[in-house]
Amino acid sequence: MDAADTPLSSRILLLWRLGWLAGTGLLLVIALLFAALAADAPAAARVLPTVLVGAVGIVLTVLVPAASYRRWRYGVTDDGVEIRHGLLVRQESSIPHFRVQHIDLHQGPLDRWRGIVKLSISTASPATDATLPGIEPEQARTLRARILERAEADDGV
Amino acid sequence: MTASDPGPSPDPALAPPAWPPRRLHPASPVLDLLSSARQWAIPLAFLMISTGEVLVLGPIAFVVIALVVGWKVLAWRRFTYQIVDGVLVVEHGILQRARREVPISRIQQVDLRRRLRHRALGVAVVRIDTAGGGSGAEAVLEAIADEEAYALRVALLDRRGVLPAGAGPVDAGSATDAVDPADARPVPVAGPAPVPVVALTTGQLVVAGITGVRLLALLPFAAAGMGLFFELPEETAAGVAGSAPTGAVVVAVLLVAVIPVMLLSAIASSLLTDHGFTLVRVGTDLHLRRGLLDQREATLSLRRVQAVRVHQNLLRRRLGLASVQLQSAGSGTAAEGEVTRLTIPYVREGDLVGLLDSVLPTTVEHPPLVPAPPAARRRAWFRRVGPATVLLVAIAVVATLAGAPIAWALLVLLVPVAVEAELVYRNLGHVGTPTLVVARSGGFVRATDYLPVAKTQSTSLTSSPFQRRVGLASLQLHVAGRGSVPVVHDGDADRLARLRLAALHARVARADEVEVRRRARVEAAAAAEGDEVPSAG
Repeated sequence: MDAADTPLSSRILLLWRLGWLAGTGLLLVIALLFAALAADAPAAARVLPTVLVGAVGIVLTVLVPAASYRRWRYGVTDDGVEIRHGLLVRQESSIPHFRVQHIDLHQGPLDRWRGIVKLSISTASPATDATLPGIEPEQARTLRARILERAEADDGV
Repeated sequence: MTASDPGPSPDPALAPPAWPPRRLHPASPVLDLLSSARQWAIPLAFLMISTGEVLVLGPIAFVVIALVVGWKVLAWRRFTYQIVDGVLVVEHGILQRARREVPISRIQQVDLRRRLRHRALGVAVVRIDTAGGGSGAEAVLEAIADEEAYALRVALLDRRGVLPAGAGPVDAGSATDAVDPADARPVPVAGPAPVPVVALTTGQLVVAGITGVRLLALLPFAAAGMGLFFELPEETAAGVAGSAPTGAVVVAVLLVAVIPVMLLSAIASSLLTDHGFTLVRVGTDLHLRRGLLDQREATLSLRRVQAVRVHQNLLRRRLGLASVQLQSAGSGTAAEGEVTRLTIPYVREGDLVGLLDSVLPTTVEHPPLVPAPPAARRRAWFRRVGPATVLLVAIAVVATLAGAPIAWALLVLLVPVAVEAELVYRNLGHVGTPTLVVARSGGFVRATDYLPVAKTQSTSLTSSPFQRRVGLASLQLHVAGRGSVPVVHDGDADRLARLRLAALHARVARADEVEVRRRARVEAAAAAEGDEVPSAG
């Protein structure tokens, strides 16, 4: 029996950073567009927002994925699956084994590039949010087998 | 208010062991056309009138409609349903044939619905649902003659050892134009006797309609607001050149005119949807019947009831009334969503515990709710009054700059906001027993969730930075089926962590529940046998 103490695969960090970078890029484009449109405004008023957006975006790109990754923990206990994550709003989810209806493994092109797998667990409740965004494929298969061998859901209601 | 009387002796012909292939009611092609009439008839009429080419378009439309009817008649000839070896087989399709097999043992729900056009022809729509939470019903049989529909329902629900009430009029053909709902009231065929759970009278539905109007609960505030309006005519008259007093009169007239219309429409909609509302328990099933023009009958297995939510607005609380919502597992569109969330519009507070006890697998006796810690009060106030103050002050400042300082009077709106904030805090509360979690929340409308621990699918404990600072958290308890998730808001973080662990031991509670259900089934089956022996002889 182990508690929620397993981190995600560290290879997801790059994907998260790229995501934040892309978001920053988008905001930068918008800021630049505004700067281009507001040709009459003083130079400082045009440049400052762009610089600010870029700087804040870069800082967040460096800090948030790393911090978020540090907080991500999951584990399989005798009772069920435990997931803990969240930077500002922290969330602790538990899914008892006997409620598990099915498990999906999903690998998008970026996931394949990084060699990670997204694993999501479904119960009879659509509100259940139990997705591990990136773990090693080998581990995903072991985990799936481990959960499924204990899953004994009836019709789940 | 009356229970369905034990009817005439069961007619064995109504529940044959196997059903030979049958077609739908011959009127079904026409009904089909009528149901889509709303989409094409009006545009067509509009087109004819606007172009004036009735003589050209008329025949074309006639031919097209004739072709469509012909096609639908063909489709009707191809559509058959039958029961073979415990499997419902539905076959249909003109060019592309389809065959759907639904094992009767998997059928969870059989719903009957009769709109006005169906009732005119004495037919019903039968929807058949299984446990799988797919997007739609497993099978829909449009237009089956009433008595056949009732018999089919009996046949489909039979194998669970529960013969539902509801083999309509026994002599087929005589009372098919069931205009008076009493004529078609279900009568038990066999099996456990139906236990009335709720039956609402017209008077109760009127009260439910009136008290359900949300704005009415705010009437005291509206009155206070109007009083303010009338006290300020001079200033405003000076400011806005005499238009404001007329404005106040207009508002008053609107209120006087609007309130009766609102009330009447609330009463009308309450009567239309819930006329003849009867909820009956038969063995382990709930049978619901309601509707004035558009009649619906639904069966719902008790074990599919996941959680119960009790709603009370201020007015209803004063009158000791509540409305009760049963949430059940199932596909979101089961009988157009009504069965996944069955609402009983009128329940007296005194009857609440009895009702909940009869629909939930556990007793709802619980210790008094634990109020939220005082930190939750600050949060409730801050989260509601804060944004409202900022907004109103901003509006007032802008208005003052624009030369209308009267806008500061808007700040009076903060009073209801503050009242709601205080109500939100006072309503917050929760308690957990080994088998049940009760969570209460809401402001002007108070909602109390009753969730059997055995029904918890998963849990989620969340906390925002603001909550963590004062040791609060929120606990979501996920249950099967669509609908709102019971949440314990702003509870003490440590208490909720313990409650979450308790909810995770659903397994023990679930085992208990399965055992209780098994016993209920055995008893129901025994009761059915006991009934059948004498009546068969």
